[in-house]
Amino acid sequence: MKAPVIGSATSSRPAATTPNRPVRDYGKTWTIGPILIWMSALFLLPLILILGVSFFTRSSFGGIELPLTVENYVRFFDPLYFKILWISCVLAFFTTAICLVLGYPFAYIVARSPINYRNILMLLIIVPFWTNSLIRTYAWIVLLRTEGVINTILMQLGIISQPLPLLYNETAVLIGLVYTMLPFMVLPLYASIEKLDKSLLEASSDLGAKPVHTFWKVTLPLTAPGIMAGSLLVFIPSLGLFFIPDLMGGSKTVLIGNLIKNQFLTARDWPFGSASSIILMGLTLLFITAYILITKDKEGKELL
Amino acid sequence: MLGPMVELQNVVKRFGQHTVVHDLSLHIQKGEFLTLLGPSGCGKTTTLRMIAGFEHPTSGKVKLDGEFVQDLPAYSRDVNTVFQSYALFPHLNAYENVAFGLRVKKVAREEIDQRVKQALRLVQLEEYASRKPEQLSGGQRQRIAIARALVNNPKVLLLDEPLGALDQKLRKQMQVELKHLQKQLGVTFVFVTHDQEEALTMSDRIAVMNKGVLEQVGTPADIYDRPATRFVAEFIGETNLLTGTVKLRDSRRMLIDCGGMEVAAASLQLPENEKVTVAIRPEKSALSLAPVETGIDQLVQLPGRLTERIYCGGITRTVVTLPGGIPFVAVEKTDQLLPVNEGDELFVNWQPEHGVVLTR
Repeated sequence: MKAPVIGSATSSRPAATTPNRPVRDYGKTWTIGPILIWMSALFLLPLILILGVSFFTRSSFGGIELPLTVENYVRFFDPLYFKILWISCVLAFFTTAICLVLGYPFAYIVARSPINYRNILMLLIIVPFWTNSLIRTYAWIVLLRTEGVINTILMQLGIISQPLPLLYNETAVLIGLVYTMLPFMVLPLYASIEKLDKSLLEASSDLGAKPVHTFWKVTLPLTAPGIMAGSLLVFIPSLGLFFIPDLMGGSKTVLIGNLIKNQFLTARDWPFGSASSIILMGLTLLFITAYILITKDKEGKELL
Repeated sequence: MLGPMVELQNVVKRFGQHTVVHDLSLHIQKGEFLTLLGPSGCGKTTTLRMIAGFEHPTSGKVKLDGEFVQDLPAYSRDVNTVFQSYALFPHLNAYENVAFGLRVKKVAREEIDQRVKQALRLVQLEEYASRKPEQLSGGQRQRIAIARALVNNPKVLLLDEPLGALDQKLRKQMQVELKHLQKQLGVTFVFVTHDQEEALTMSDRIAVMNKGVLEQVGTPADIYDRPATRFVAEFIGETNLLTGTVKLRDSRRMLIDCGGMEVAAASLQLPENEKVTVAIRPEKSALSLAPVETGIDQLVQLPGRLTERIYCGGITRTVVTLPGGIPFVAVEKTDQLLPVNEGDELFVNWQPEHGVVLTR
C-alpha cells in the first residue's frame, strides 16, 4: 500500500496581522469601560475597604481606630478558630459530595430524556429559587422540628414512639446546605452531560465496553469539567453560608460564615471580622487556583 | 464454517408509527465488500446499526457468523464500526483510542502494545500515536477510527459513510486505500454510502435501498447493466427512461409502444399491453444524421432534434428531444461530433438488447 501524506498534523496559524495598527481601537474602551466601572464600584471598592479595616484596631465602642496592626490576623491562628475553619471545610466537603452523588444521576437523566421533557425537569430544579431561601429554610424547620411534619406523621403511623432529633444538629445543617446548593451542582453537570456526543458512548459499546465501563472510561472523564465546576460552585458558598447553620444548627454549630457574621453584628469587632473574611477569601482563591491547575482544559474555564 | 457472515432475515424496524426498514432479507458473504447504497432516509444506516447492535429490529432476525444476535447489545457482538463522525474519544490520544477495545477485553499489556502499533502501522500513523484527536486532520482521524475498529479483529467491519466529511481528492484516495485494506485483511466490510460512484468503485456487491425496501442486490456490473427496477436504473449512473406498453412479442424480441415510437427489446415473459419502462444508458446509444439501413429488430432508431450539447472534456453529452418532447441523453466523443447544430434533426439508435425492460 502506498504511503500517502495527508497534510501536516500541526495546526499552522495564519500569519499575524500588521503589528502597528494606526487607528486606536475605541470599541475596546467602550465595551470594557462600563464593566470596569461596575466591578470597581461593587467589587474592588468593598474589597479594599475590608482589607483596610482588617488592619485597624477595634475601638471600645465597636468602631475602628489606629494604630494599624496585624493582630487580627495573628488572632485567627488560634486553635479555636482553626477548628471552626476545619469543621466548615468538612461540612462544605460533605455538602459537595452529597450534592454530586444526588446531582449527577439527576443531571444525567435530564440530559438524556426527550428534549421536550428536559426544560420541564430543569424548571423543577430552578422554580424553588424564585422563593426566598430564608423562607425555604424555615419550611425545612417546619418539616424537621420535634413537633414537625415528619415526626408527627411517623408517630401517628406508630413507627416511632418518641420524636427523632432531626433539627439543631450538624445533620440538619447538612440537609439544609445540600438542599440549597443542589441546583448549583446540577446546572453545570447538566450542561456538560448534555454536550457529550452520544456517538462516543456508542463507540465505547461498539468496542466491547459494558455500560458501567463506558461510564467510568468515557462519560466520567468527559464530564469532569462539569463535575469540577459544580463542586466549586457548591463548596465555596457552603463555606460562607451563615443563615442555614444559624437557623437549622441552633447555637451548637458555629461555622466560618457564622463567625464572620457574629464579628460584625454581635461582637462588633469589624477588624477581626474583616481579617477572617480576607482569610476565607484567600482560601477560596487557593481552591480556585487548584481547580484551574487541575483542569487545564478549555471546557473547564468555559464553565467557570 | 461455511455460510454467510451476516444474515438478515425479514428484518423490520419501526420508530413509532414510522417504518424505516420493510421486511429486509440479505446475505453477506465472508470476506465480501458489500455496500448499502441509497438516498438519505432510505434505511441503510438503520440497517447497519441493527448489525452493529445500536438498534434492535422490531421483528425479524439478525445472524452473525451462524449465531442469532438480534437481541444482543453492541458490546457483545464481534463487529466494529467506523462512525460517520469518527467518534474518537477526545480525552485519549491516538494510541489510547486504538487500544480502548483491547483494554476493555483485558488483553495482556505486551499484546496490546504490539497490536496497537501494528494497527497504527497499517494506517501509516505510527508517528502520530501520542496526538490527541483535535491535533489530527480529518483524514488522519479517519485512519485512527479505522485502526481502532480493525485492531479488535472484528468478524465484520461496519462503515457508516466514513468518507462523507472528506474533500473530493482525499475521498478518492481513501476509497482506494480502504479497498486495498479490505483485500489485504480479508475482513468482511459492510459500507454505507449515498454516493453511487463510490459504491461502484469499491464494492464486491451492492445492495440498493429505497424507502426502507431492498430494491436490488448484485455486483456493480449487474446493478449498472441490468437494473431490476426503475429506481435502481435512475439512481445508479445516468439513464434514459422510455415508458410504454408491450405490443408484440415472440420468443426473441418484443415491441414496445412508447407514445407512438416503436422500441424493440429482448423478449420477456410479459402479457400484451403490460406497462413497462425501457432504460438505455447514454453510452450504449449512438447518433446518426440519417437512419441506418437495417431491420427494426437489429437496431432501435428514433428521430429527434438536437437540443443541447454539454462539454465534459473527452466526451460531450448530447441532449436530443424525441417526439412527444421526451429528452434523451446520448454521448459523443468530443473530437468526433456530428456536424449538426441545435434544432437540427438527427437519429438516436441502440441495439435492442441494450434496452433494459423494467416492470416496476
